[in-house]
Amino acid sequence: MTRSEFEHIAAQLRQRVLKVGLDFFSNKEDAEDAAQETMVQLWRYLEHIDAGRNVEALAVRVAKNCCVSMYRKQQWKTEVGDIDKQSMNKADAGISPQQQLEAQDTQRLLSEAMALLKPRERELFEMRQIEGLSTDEVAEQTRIPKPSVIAMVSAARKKVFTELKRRMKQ
Amino acid sequence: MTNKDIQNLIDKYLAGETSPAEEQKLALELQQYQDLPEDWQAVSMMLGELTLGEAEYDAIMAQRKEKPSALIIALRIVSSVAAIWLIGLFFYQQTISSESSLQSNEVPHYYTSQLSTGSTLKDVYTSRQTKDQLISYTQLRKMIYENK
Repeated sequence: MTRSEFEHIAAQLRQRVLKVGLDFFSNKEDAEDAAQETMVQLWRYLEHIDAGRNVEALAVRVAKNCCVSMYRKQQWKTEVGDIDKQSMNKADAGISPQQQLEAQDTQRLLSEAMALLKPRERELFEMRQIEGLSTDEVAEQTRIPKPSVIAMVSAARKKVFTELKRRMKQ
Repeated sequence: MTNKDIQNLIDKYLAGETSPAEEQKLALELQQYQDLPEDWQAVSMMLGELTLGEAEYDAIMAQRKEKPSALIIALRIVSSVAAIWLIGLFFYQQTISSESSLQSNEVPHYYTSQLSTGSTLKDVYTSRQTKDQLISYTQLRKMIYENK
């Protein structure tokens, strides 16, 4: 997806993710923060988003993740209070540097394993995995019969699974 | 969920037959383990942060629906007590009014003197209230019906 394509739908997406935040936090300030963070994440992920796909479904999933992340920080700050300034800085960062490295490593391994998939397999894998669509929704959007969707998603998952295990052993 | 249940769900996942809800459930289960077996770790990586985050979001929302906040519980208790008190007060006043009217068979003049052509029951009732001559609306209707 190009920047201009994203900017074209950004206002509509923002309203949708703001609703996710409002449902979760029940206050506009936190919901606005979550929506802002979601839009930033989507902007960073822009080059991996296929413009023809369901961007709203992905945005909602990212928004839910941002809400949970913010919620965890709030909970953590409430528990700790203002005793330890260093700890507060750690909470602001969200996750530790080690966790960040592990997450990056996981993402790299997964990307490498997914690179082995055929384009159609990859498309279906991502629709199920990243956009969070059900098999019925994938079948409806791609106009592929449901049994074929199941078979292709299964083949894709087994390939990625085998490749991940192989790379983890190295 | 037992290890066997988790393994069955993983097999179903690899067969492409799990629903998004089952995948969320699996992500939450796998997150709870410190040292995952290699196979499970690979599936956990495949499910990814997005599935896990969504699962946690839905779990928190479901928990909130099941368990209302302390403020809502307090408000519910206060409103219930207030409602019971108001109902009790209403019946108490009705009883007091009925007893006072039963003490005398004589119908006071002011009950009917208020009625003139064009007067409504409500007019009489309102007039009675302003003159501090207590009588319930029900009693008044009953007396009009009995032509007293």
